[in-house]
Amino acid sequence: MFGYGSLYSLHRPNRRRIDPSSYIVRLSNLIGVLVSTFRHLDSHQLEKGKRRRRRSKNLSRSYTFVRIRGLKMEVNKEKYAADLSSIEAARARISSFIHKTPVMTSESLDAISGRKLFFKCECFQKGGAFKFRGACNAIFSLDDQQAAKGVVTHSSGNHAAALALAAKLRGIPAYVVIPKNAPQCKVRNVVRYGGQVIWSESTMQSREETATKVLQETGAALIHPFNDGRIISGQGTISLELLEQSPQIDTIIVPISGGGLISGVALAAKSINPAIRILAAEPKGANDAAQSKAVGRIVTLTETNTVADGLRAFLGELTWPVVRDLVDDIITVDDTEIIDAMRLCYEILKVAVEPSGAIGLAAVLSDSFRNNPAWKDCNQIGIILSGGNVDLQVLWNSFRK
Amino acid sequence: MDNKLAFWLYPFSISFTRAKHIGFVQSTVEGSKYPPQSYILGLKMEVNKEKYAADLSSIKEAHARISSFIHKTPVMTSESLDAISGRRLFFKCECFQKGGAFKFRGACNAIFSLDDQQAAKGVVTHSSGNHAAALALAAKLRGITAYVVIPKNAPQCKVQNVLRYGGQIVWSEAPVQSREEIATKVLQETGAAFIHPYDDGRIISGQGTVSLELLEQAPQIDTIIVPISGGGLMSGVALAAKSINPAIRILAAEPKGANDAAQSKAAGRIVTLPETNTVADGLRAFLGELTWPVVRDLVDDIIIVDDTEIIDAMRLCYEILKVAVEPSGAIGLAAVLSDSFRSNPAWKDCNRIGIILSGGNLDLESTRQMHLSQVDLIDQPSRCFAGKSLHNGFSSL
Repeated sequence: MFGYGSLYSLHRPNRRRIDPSSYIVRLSNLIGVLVSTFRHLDSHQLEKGKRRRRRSKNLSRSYTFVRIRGLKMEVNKEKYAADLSSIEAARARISSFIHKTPVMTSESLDAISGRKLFFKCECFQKGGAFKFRGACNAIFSLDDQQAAKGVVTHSSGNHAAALALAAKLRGIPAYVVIPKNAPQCKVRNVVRYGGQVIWSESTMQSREETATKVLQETGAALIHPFNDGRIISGQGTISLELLEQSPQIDTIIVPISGGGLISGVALAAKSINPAIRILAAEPKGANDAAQSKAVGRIVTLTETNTVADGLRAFLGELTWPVVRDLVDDIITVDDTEIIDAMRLCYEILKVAVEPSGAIGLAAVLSDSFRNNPAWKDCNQIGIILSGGNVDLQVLWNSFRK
Repeated sequence: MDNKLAFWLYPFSISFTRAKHIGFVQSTVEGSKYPPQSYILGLKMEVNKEKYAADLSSIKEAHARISSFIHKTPVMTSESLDAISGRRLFFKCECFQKGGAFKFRGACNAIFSLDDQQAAKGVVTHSSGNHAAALALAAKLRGITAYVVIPKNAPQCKVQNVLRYGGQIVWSEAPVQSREEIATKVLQETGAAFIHPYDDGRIISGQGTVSLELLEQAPQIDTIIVPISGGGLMSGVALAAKSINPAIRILAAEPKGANDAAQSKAAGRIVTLPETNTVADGLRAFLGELTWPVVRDLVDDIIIVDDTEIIDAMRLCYEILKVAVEPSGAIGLAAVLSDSFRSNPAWKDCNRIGIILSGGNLDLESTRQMHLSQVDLIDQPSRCFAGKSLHNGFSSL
C-alpha cells in the first residue's frame, strides 16, 4: 500500500500509472509559493529595525489584505502609527468617559449641497471638540508610575482643554503651556477643567522651550497634540461610531491640520470599508497639507493666515504617511466659505461650530468639490464637525464682515 | 368622637375601597376598567379620558402617525451645566426638530389627521412664529396648500422659514383683528381647515410625543421643565408624562413680562394681559380653553424668570452645549438656574430634571444685540423680537 504500488490511483478509471514527476512539480511549486510568501514576511520583519521610507504608493510588499470585488486596499499593521486593532482598543479604553456624539441630517442642507450629508457632531464631545478622545486614550494608557508625575503639553487650543479634563478624570496634574495670544474661550476651558496654565510667548520656539523646562522639572510625560500613536488611535474611534451609526456613507470629509484626526479616521474607515473615500478640507491660508501631497514630502509654511485657528499646524512624522497614502484628495477653501458654512450650521442645524469645525461643510459646498468629476459619485457624505469652541465676539465680528 | 372621625374619614375610605377592587397601582391609562387612577401614599391623580383634550392613547396615536416624518431628537447632558446647577440635567433638543422647533410635531399630527377631502382644500393659520413654518412644512409633505397669514412686522427669520417650506403668505396688518379677519376671509374663499397653534387636541397630542421620547431616552427623570405660552406643549407633555409616571413633577417656565399663566393659576381662571414685554417672542400667547384645564390640574408650579436670566441661559447653551436656542427655548435652563427655583424647598428633591429646548430659530444679528447689550435689551427694537406687543398673543407663535 505504501510502496511504489500506491501511485496507482484506485479512483482513476483507466488505471494508468501516474507519473510521479508531475506531483513533484506541483509540490515544489506549492513549496515555492509558500517560501516566497513567508520570505517577504521574514525580510520585512528584518527591516523593521530600519526606517525605510517608501516613495511609491504601491503597498504590494505588505501582507494584510482586504478585498472587495477585486479592489485591494492594504492597511499594514507594521507601517503606520495606528491600525484598526489599536483604534478598537482605544475605544474600549475611553468609551466610558466620552460622549457617543449624535449624527445629524438636514434635508435643507441636502438640498443646498445636492448630496446626502451626515454630520458627526464632535462639537458635543466633552471639552467641546474631538480632541478629548485622543487625550483620554493617551492618559489612560500611561502606567501608574508615569501617570503620577502628570502630563505636559503646549497647545493654544482644544488639545489643552481635552488633556486637562482627561487628566482630571484620572486624578493627575496637567501642565499646559499656553501662548499669550490664545483664544479666551479655550483658555477658560483649560482653567475650568483644572489644568495648570503656564504662559509663554506666542512663538513656537518659546512654547517648546517652556514645555521642555516643565518636563525637566516635573518629569511629566509630554503628550503631543497629534503626532502620537495613542492620540491617532483615540481620534480614530470617531470612524467606528460614524460607520456604525450611518453605514451607508461612501465618503468622509475631515478637517486637516496636524493630521491626527484624519489619520485616525482614515485608518479605521479604510480598514472597515476599503472602498470608502477619505477627503481632507483645508483652509487656503494654511494649505501645507495640500502642498505636501503635491510634492510628496512634508511641507511647512512660514506663516498661516486663516480664521480657522485650529487648523494652523503642520503634518508630523507619524501623520504624514497616512495622509500621503490613505487620503484621496484635499479640498482647499477660503475663509469666506468657512464663515458661510458656520452660519449655515448655526441657522439650519442649530449647532455652534468653530471655523475649523465648519470647514467640512464648506468643502462640500465649494465649487472645486462640486465641479470635480472625480467626486461625482460621492452621494452619502459623512462630515465631521470637529469642534464648537469659539468666542462669541469673534463669531459676531466674522459674521459682520 | 369615633363617629366624628369616621365621618371625616368616609370620603377617603371610599377611595381606598376602590383601590382594593383595582388590586394594584395603575400607572397607565390604557386597559383599566375604572377611571384611570394612581395612588402614591394616598395621593390620587386622575388622568381622565373624558376630561382633557388629549390623553396617552391620542398621544401614542400621534406618535405612530408622525414618527416617519419627524426627527427623534437627541437628549444631551453636560457635566459642566450639572455642576453649575447642582442637579442632573437632561436637555431634549427640540431645536433640532424639522423647522427648528417642536411645533412640527403638532402640525404634522393635525395635517395627517385630516381626511383626504378636507386636506385637498388646504389649511390656514395666522402666526408669525414657528407654528407657521411647521404648518407649511407639514402641508408640503402631504402635498397640500398652506395659507399663512403673517403680520407685516413679523421676524424675518421666521418669514424666511415659511417661504423655504413652500407656505403661501398672505400679509395682514399687525393688530390681531386684522389677522383674524384676513384668516377668516381666506377660510371662506378656499374652504381650508383652520389649524390653531395650540388650542387643538391634535396639536396637543402631537406635542405630547416629546414626553414619550424623552422618558424612553432618559427614564430616570423625576421632573420636566417646559416653556409655557399658549400651553400646547405644556399640556401634551404633562398629559403624557403624568400618565406614564404619575410621580413625575411638571414645572412651567415663564417670562416675567408675560406671566399670564402664573396669574391664571393663582386666580383659578384664564387671565390675559393687556400687553407683554419679553425677549422670548415665542412665549407671548395666553392660555386657551383646552390648554387651561391641563395647566390648572397637572402643572405643579410655574417658575418666573426675567429676560437677563433668559439671555444668560442662551449664552450657556451656546458656549457649553454648543446648541443654538432661541430665548423661548432657553427659558427652561434659566428657570433651573434661577434663585426662585434653587431656594424653593418644594423642589429640593428634583435631582434629575428634563429640560425641553423648544426651538432654535433666531436672527444672528438680534442674537448679537442681545448678547452685547443685555442691560438695554428691553428698549431696543429688533427685527426678530418685539419688546412690547399689543395683542392676545397667539399669533406670535
